Amino acid sequence: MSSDTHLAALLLSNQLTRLDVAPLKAREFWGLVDRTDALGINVGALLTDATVRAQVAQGDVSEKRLTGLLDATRAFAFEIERLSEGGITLLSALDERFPVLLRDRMQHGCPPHLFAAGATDVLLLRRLAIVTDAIDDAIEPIVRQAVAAAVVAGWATVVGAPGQSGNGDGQAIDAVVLDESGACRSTPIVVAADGINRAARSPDVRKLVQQQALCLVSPFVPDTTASAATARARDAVVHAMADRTLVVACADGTGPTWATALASVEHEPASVLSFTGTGSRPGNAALVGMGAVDIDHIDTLHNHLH
Amino acid sequence: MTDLAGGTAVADPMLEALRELTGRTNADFRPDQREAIEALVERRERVLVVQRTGWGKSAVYFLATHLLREQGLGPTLLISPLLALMRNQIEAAERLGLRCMTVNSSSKTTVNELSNRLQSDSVDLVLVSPERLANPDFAQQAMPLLGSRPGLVVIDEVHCISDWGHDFRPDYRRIGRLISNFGDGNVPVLGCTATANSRVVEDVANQLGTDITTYRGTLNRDGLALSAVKLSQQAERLAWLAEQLGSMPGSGIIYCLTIRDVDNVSSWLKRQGHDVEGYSGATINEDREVLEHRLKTNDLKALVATSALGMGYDKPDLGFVIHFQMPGSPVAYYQQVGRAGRALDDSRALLLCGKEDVNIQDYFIDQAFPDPVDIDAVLAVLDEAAGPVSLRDIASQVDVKWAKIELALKQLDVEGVVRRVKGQSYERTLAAWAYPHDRIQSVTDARRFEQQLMFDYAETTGCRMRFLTDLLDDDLGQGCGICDNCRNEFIQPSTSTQLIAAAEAFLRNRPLMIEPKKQGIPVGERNQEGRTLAHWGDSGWGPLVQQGRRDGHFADELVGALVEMITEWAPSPAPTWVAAVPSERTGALVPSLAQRVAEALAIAYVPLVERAEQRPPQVEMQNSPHQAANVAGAFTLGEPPLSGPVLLIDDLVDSGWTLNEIGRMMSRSGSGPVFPVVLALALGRRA
Repeated sequence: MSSDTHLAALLLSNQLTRLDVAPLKAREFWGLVDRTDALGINVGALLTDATVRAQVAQGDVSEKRLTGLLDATRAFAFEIERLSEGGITLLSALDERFPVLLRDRMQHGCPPHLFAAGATDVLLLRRLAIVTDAIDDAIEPIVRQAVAAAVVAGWATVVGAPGQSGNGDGQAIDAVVLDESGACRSTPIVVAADGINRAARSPDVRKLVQQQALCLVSPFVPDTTASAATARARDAVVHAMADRTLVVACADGTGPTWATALASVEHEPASVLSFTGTGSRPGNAALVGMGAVDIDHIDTLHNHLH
Repeated sequence: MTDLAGGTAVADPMLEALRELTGRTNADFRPDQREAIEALVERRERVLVVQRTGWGKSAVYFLATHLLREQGLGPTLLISPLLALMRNQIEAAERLGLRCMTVNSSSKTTVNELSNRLQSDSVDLVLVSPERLANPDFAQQAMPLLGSRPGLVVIDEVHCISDWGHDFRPDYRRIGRLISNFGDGNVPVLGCTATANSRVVEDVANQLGTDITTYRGTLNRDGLALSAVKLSQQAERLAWLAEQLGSMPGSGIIYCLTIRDVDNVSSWLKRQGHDVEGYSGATINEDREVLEHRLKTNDLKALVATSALGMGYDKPDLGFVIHFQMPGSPVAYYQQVGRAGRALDDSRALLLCGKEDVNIQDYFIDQAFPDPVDIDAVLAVLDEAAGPVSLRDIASQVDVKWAKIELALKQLDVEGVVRRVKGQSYERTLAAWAYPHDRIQSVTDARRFEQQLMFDYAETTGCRMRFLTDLLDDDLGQGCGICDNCRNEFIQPSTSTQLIAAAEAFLRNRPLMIEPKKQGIPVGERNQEGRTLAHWGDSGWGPLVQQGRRDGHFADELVGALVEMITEWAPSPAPTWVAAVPSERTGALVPSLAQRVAEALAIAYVPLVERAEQRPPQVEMQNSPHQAANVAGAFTLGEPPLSGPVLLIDDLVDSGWTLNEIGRMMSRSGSGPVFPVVLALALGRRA
């Protein structure tokens, strides 16, 4: 993929600079990509060729809007430079490091870009997401064993992080995953419900990123504060970017863990591994009943990481 | 094509524009000026101009801006550390019809106004200080607009971009990265300097893009007669200046290394009947303009100045430049003396070397970069913080001087390790970082080398102009023929022992003011303005104060000087009693001093202030939150104070928090106004 392609992709969904035109929403962005693909045109050509812009413009995605977005190259470059100085990389959805699974599964709902920091190379590994309603004495060892199993299999773990301000949700699984990853000397991927600058306000997370012991990812504008909506979006990204998702504990028919797991099971049941051993909750069995893979004992997890 | 007046076509629009700019109908280009403009305008190249002061670098970028704007290109961004001194040039640019906007700490232009003007394309030249590039609002609002449609980027004093330059500035490190984002990285760039040797030129070229065209002129200054003399004692130099200033040609500049020296030298020369004024970083902007104008119109014999006056100051008929102390490098020296006599056949540059020079230079070298320990301390606060931390909160958590905290944050900000958020708050970024020991060591080594070269210059027996131009990789060939060594005519020290004695007495009688602390202190509990007799390091009373502290007894001469100072000062309402600041370490030293002063003034001495508990020496505290905390509750009053005005006496004052704390206690307990009186200001003295 050429650098023009990445740049055009980033400019089209650019929320970093103030513009007179609105950035493309995910569905508008992917609709545009579909149209360029259909015409056999590289997205990068939009940067320089006005006739191409006219060809792919449609509805709200007008030629004028495309031009307004694509002409903001310099302003955007300054913002990218500032982010880069601060250790943040912006990955377009057309970048090789951008998780292909995320794009394939979320389709037109896929975020057009991700902000990433730290050990971004782990995005190229196979990934096990670990999700749970809550952490307690019974659940914590399961999570730790799951991390260890992923490490042995050469997979990266993916986990969602709660908002720094306490908004969004009350998960604390990320702390267990980070701790166990540290013990196993592996590098997890943490998906934030905040923008990446806000997520970086956690001193622990910041240090791990600086030590390249963590890959921090966020689909949101860097200074976004977490909310219930961003937490839902984060959960969707966690599931979609993982080759497999282990649901450790899940209430039946309620809560964000159930909702996201259910959507994944309906879409791709084999990607959801539902733990049904000691500590699991009624939702875990229900997910198995709907087609998720049954992990009745955590020792068997490694059989599914290949 | 039409000319600037909107008239008929002219044969040479570039020349017409030059004449419009200069206001002279017969003006013509100097060697390389036209070529540099053509390189920028016609070939959109990157150009480095290394030309002596007065060559006309500003004409190049003003004319280039004018021509690029005529072609429909965007405005010029001019980055200069000297905006406050560019008033003359801006007026000239406006004659050419250029619409200029200056954005720096002293301008009233806001980033919003600039952004609006950029959006409406109604500004041709944007002048910013390098520090402004770091301002979050400027970076987020104005820079993208400038970068989206750049006409030209000008980097004035471009040697500041190089670690090897004598005047390296951290903020210049942003510029290389910045211009790579301008206009697809192919915007024409003009770097200007009067002082760059081959190594600096190479470094600048690397940072601005290796494909750079350099226009380098001869740096020799015809008619500038250089000379130097070693006069160790300040009093000797003051006497020499008092005797010789009147015989100097025209008006000139006397450079000092510190603000305190500017104050001393200007006061002394005024007292000796010379028409001089002081000019330094402490001079307010309005006064600076007035003083610059007075010098320009020869309404003053001399301005006594720090390096705050120098680069960018334009007075072609400046008759002389005298250095009261030795600057840190020959290149800096060349730059300062290079201001003399540009439009004169004869001008003079004299270097007076003193024994304090090396200590002052060492201080500047040591302070140039933040200490790793300080920077680690500041970073540790931000590392542990879950969000932005204000400068004040950082200072309360680390015992590091404010200036050093600010220096550390500036370095970390430039490196992307911290980011400045609204106001004076900072937060840690995700970027990893390690202290650049090697780079800082190599730069410090370079500074030491330059310092040695300056000593070599002072002592050389060869041609002085050739010594300087050789260092700038400019081959002068034969000697200048007019320096002291070439003519074998040397500066003679003052032979007037009476004048030297008067200068010594003057230096001893230079009381300093102690400003009362105000922040957070109710008006009724504030001290009055106070006085110190001397500066700890001064050659006046300083040595006698140091001697007294060593001996455990201050000489009668010091008591007499204090009494004389108080009598001349005549604080109002007149003090009726004296108190002393007690110290565990110096015992009766200060109470004894206070008692003797009280006796001499024929007022009461009341030993009412006592130490409540032992605390670390105040001089070990590095910033005001720690200094204030260290003295809070450290004293008690053994008895109620008298109700009249009081002199509160101490031997040394650093931050002033001890005097402040005791003054507050006494005021709260019913004393009259408290006037601090101290022997010596010991600012920055280490324990």
